[in-house]
Amino acid sequence: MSDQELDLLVAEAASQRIGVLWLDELRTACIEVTRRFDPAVYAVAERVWSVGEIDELMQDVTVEQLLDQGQLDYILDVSRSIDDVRRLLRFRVRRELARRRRRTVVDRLLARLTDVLGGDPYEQVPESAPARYRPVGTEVGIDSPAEEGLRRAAAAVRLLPTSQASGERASPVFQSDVLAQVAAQCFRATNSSLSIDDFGRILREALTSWLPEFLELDEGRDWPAEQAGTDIELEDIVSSLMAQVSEEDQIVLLAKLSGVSDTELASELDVSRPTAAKRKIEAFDKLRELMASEAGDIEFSQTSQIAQLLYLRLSQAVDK
Amino acid sequence: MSSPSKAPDWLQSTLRKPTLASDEFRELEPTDHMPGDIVVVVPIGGANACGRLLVVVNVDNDHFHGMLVIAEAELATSADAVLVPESTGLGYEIAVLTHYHGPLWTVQVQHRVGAIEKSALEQLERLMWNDEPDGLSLRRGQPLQPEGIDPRYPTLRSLSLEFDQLTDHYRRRCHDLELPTLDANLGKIDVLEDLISRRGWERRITLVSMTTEFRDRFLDSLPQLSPDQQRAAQLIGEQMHNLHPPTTFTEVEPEEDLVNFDLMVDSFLQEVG
Repeated sequence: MSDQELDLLVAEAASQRIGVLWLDELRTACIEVTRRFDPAVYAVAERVWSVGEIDELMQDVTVEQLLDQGQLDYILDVSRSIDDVRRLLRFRVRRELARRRRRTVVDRLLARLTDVLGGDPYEQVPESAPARYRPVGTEVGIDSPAEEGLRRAAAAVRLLPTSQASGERASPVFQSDVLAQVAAQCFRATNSSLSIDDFGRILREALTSWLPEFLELDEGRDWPAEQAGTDIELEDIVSSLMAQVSEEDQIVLLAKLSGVSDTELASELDVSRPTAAKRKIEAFDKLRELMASEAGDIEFSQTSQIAQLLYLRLSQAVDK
Repeated sequence: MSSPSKAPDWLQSTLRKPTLASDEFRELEPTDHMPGDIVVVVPIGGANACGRLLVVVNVDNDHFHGMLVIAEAELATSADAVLVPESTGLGYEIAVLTHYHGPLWTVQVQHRVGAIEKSALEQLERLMWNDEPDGLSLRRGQPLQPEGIDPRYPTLRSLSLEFDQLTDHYRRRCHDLELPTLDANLGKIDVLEDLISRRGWERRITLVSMTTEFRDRFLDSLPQLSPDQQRAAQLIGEQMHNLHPPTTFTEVEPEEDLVNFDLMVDSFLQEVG
């Protein structure tokens, strides 16, 4: 009986938090979920989902998700049947796989960012240890950015175009020109010098907000195949859109897409908040009209690619 | 299934860490509810539904107003707050989706699991109605971007549907949803005679509101009905006493031809059926 199974799990949690019953359930969830995920990308040491890899994943989910993040308590709070427990455990396994992926991607991006920050147009802030960087010609010191600044930076970079998640382990998610924009946007949003640790926090938060897309993958679907590069047709559409969007609308669209509030936009444009809100609506309406005429026959799945590419071009245009 | 036994070695050190969950607010099927309580609720009739967390915003006898709570902080937008375990008594971080709020019956509460401070609740209430309030100290999520760009839309939409299921029963039973207004022409003698001859009209008449215009026409027609019909129509009279006349209603043109009253009665029965 399902309820008896739930009762046993509840009793085990009350006596020892996690014991063999929970581990049995978790092992089953790991085996079921990993069938849909490429071990070359998501496993730790081997290229197959071996018993050892499943054990390692089970330990990670147990320690990171169920205990450190307290998700065992959440499962116990809301589950009313063994099916609820199993569904929530599978969700946690997918989430742990996403976390692994994000960690690998961020590490790789930070290594590449170190190269970007080592050359023009950036410099190391004198006497900063660990090293802090700033754009050449700015006077920002060694002070760390405020939390709000980091949050704004994450919002500003999360829309920059990424290459799709791929079967290749740790493939870069930002191409080189986009990575340069990541650095520029972070400095602009924080108005502060930044360390590699700061970039790590920004990137982790930015990529976390994309987790739902990953977690929405149901068990009947495989991870989408990599899409090679940016489609030339999409580039043409975005170039045409950019040519038709006025300079002021470009500023408004960039600000709103990077998460700037109406109040901040009003201050930037030196207008009242209602006027800023009105200009925002007008700019997005115009963009929708243009999208409908320029990209009306494009597949829905490509509209987010267009939006990301447009955001990159807006960032580059405002930089100039 | 095997019986519980000792956890493996790798688990022992982690298990020694205390849980952040507090028992202070926990209560199974609580009878008293307070603003700020975090409760587990289920939909009415949802015997197999998984529980959902809500923050109680205010309480009124047999019902309360609540905001949806989720355990996936990355779904929080700039209109939502992310609360750490220390501020809730829960063992995990939560996001309070301030735009997902509505009324529920108190009997939908399964148990209370946590609570937030009054000051936090006040800030959540400000976020409910204003996306950019000043002076908030609560941590918030990333701004929501337009549909097609922001990957959170499908999940947020599905949460919205789930939340509707939680509040649906209350809304249907109470005045939160507008009751259909009875067409005033149903008060005319020939239409009224047809109506009360139909099966099931008595139950449906309790699910509508009535205008003063309908009342006037009904009272004009009542003496013209047979004694049996008058007894049947008495239910309408009782319903009129139970309802306050609504302040707005759709006017029916007085000169409208009533030849097609059959259609009108059918339409009424379909609308409230």
